[in-house]
Amino acid sequence: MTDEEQARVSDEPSLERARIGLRHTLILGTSQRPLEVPRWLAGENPRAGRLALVAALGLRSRFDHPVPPPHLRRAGLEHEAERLMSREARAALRRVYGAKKRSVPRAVTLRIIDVLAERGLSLHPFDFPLLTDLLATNDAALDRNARMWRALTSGNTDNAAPPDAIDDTNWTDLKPAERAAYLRQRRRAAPAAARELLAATFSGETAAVRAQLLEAMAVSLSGDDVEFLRGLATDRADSVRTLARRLTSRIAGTSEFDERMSTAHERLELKSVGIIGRKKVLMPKLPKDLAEAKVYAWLSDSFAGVSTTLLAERLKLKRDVFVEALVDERLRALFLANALSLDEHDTALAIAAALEPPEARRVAAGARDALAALEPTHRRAFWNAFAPALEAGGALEERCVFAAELYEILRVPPPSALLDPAATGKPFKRWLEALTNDANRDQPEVAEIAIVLADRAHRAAWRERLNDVPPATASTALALADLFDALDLQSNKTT
Amino acid sequence: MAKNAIALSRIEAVAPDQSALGAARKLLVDGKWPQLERDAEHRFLWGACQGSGATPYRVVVEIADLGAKCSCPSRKFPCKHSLALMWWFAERPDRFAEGAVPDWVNEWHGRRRHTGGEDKGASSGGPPKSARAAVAEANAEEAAPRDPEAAARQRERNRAARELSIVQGLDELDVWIDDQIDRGLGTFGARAAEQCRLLARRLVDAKAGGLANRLDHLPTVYFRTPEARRHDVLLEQLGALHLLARAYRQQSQLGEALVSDVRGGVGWTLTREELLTGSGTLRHRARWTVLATRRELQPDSLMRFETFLAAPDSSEVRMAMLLDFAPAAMAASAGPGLVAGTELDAELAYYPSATPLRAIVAAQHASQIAAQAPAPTDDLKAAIDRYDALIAVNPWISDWPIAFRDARIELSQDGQCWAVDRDGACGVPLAGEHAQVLLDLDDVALYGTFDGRELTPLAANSALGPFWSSHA
Repeated sequence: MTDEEQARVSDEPSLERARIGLRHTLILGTSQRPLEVPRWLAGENPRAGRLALVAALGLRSRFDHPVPPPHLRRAGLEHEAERLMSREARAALRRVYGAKKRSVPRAVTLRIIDVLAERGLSLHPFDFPLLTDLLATNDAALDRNARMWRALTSGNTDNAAPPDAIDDTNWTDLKPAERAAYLRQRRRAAPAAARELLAATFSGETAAVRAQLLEAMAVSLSGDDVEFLRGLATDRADSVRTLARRLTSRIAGTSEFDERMSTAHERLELKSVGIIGRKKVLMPKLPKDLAEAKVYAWLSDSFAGVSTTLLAERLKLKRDVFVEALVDERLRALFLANALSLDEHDTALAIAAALEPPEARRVAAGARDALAALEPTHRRAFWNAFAPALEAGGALEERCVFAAELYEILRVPPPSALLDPAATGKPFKRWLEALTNDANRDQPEVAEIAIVLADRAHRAAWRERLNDVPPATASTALALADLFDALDLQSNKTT
Repeated sequence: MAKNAIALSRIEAVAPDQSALGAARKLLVDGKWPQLERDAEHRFLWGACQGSGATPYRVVVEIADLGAKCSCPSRKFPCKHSLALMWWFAERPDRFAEGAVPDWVNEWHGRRRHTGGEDKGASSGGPPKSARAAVAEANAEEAAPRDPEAAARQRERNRAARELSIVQGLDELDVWIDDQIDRGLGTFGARAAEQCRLLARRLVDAKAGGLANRLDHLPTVYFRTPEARRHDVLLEQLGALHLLARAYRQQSQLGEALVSDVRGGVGWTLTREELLTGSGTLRHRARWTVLATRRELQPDSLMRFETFLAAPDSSEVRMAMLLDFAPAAMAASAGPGLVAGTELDAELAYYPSATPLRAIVAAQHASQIAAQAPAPTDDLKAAIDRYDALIAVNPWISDWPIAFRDARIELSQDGQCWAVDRDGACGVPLAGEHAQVLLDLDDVALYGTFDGRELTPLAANSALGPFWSSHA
């Protein structure tokens, strides 16, 4: 070993020891603090020595690798390979969401989420980065891993995992809207237990959350709830006190109920109109000086939560006549919501069936929460109730947009014949003509909506018709058709 | 207008774009032009324009057709210096001293005549050539041999001149690094972009394009590093730059393969032809799996496409990377054309290196969908050891593909994804937006690029099937 090599070897430990000091000097700058270069590196040229030292330190640093921290943890994802979508379905899904040219309608996304949930299938985690639009919905029906991925990528790495199964012990971990939904569900099954759950946590919530949760008490309301609701007369928030009074007033036998029925009765005017065929008409008796902006609040204060059945009895009208007499759109929307929340489904269906197309869309949107809170079996019936309005919609675009809006509310598929392409002959032709004349025109995603809401047979019929549609318009719809076909095939294989 | 005057409309017609004209206008300052001359017959204009480097650019314009040549490295043709020279003459012909046509102008003009390089379109008032066509023509002019021996001599002269120029550039680089040390690494961030850009331009002038690219990229590397580690990364980068400069000066002491890395790092390139016909070129035919394709916009507005390939090779996995470039404007339709998850039966030719990775496809025979990536043989520790061994051989490698088996992917308390071996003793943090899709998976065979600190996943084999990052 030469002297130089010997010096180098003996200097290596000191170089290692001095690394931290040298690093500080380099950060500070040699103009501030002189750099002591080891003799064997310095040579005759000070600059060359400094540069050699930088190279040596830099190279040494390359061999420093990270050490894993002691407490690594699982994120909580559950990987069940057998529940994953098939390769064919994944490929089709990526065609739908990977093409960034057009956004996918929300109803389409919700339908995909619902179909996967119905069939017990999961999105493949490897596709999550491509499915940001789909995952952005953060819908409760999204599978557990997908919701977790969303939480992880939004920076929420603590408790990102949603609870596996929601029950009375962990329901308070949910977000307010999810807790309200859980309470509604519990009210249907065990009203008293649900009330106790609410009472146990009620006072610790904010006013907005208290009101949101209290709304759930509207389900299966009975005399057993009176004491709890009257106890809220001293709540610190006016909104909660008002809501509690309103809920109490829905319970037959209470003084609030009688008072409310009387108020509702007094604020309605029953008239007979028509020269030949006399027809009953119910109109609100709006105060003369009521500002337009305050009309809805007045109507809501007068009629929200009032039983249609009992009000019809007071007015001495049969249910059909009562429904027919509701010619005012605002009253229709209010009484539809009342009938839905008070489980007067026949009345609600009769009101829905009497609606004309444009009004039907507005009324359905107005009664969105009440419709969405129904049991799935009852929601299915409302597709039929709204069917006349849907079919009278005329243009295919209007029909599909209304169907998409209804799907977003009801979250159950429509009757299979509703979007039968054979029944949309003229509207289809007009739609096709419009597309052919201007392929770039802004138009709702008719084919996409029809494909995802149709059953297998009608989907095939739609696919055939898409041959006539400009390719740019049909590509997403065809990918959706492939996706649903692949999901059908996978379900068949599984079963 | 005099017969040989230049109208501004002609200048506008030959300009590649408006921004070049705007840049040219800014050069119409007396101090920028130490030399402005023309010949007695008003055939040529030539001059020297002071750029960012020490040596002014030499510019010549043939007045008849506005053919031009400049020694600057601009990709635009004509460049802003040529346009400025024309513009000076259009507005201030009196600024041009009359002089004898210098040899370099005659030489350039001779090549133009020889190759028929006159721009007939421009002189006849027809539409100007596209910038790309003009550049191609200019390159063709450069390359056109007068006779083979003379061309060889010229090439040798050019080569020697470039070697000299590069060594001068390396000296400037060392001075610059020493300046950074003098001022302190702590102050680098405040002046990083400007300082690096300035030196990068000088290195381009010195024909050390590879070093210039490293310098151009340095601020990006610096700022994308977490603040706590920036000084270490800067130290590594500056150290590597100096080491490259030092190695370049001492090529005779290096092995042939490492010399290729050093020269490549500085900016010497090999053409595809040279690589394919080279006797020492390493070729390897195998069933290559395309692991991933990546694209990155470079500071020079070129899109860089990287395609990573892997193939089983006796008891290990052999890796390769194909590198393609395209102008950013054409990037959407350009690219390597290989899709992740494809298996190719192909022969690759590797660029010479002490650590061969970059390659080109010499021959492609068949392709099919790959079931998964080849199974790696290393565990994580062995893969990191292998990476360290590569750095020891070739200290200029940075992001490098590695592969390992039996990893599990978990979260640290601060939400960072980690790939760790079975007993958790060895691990690497995972980078990139797609790493989280691998969370909670066990027994993962993972491919990724490793920079010594983080691993960016390329592909993986798992119980959920193959993962191709380019699909995510």
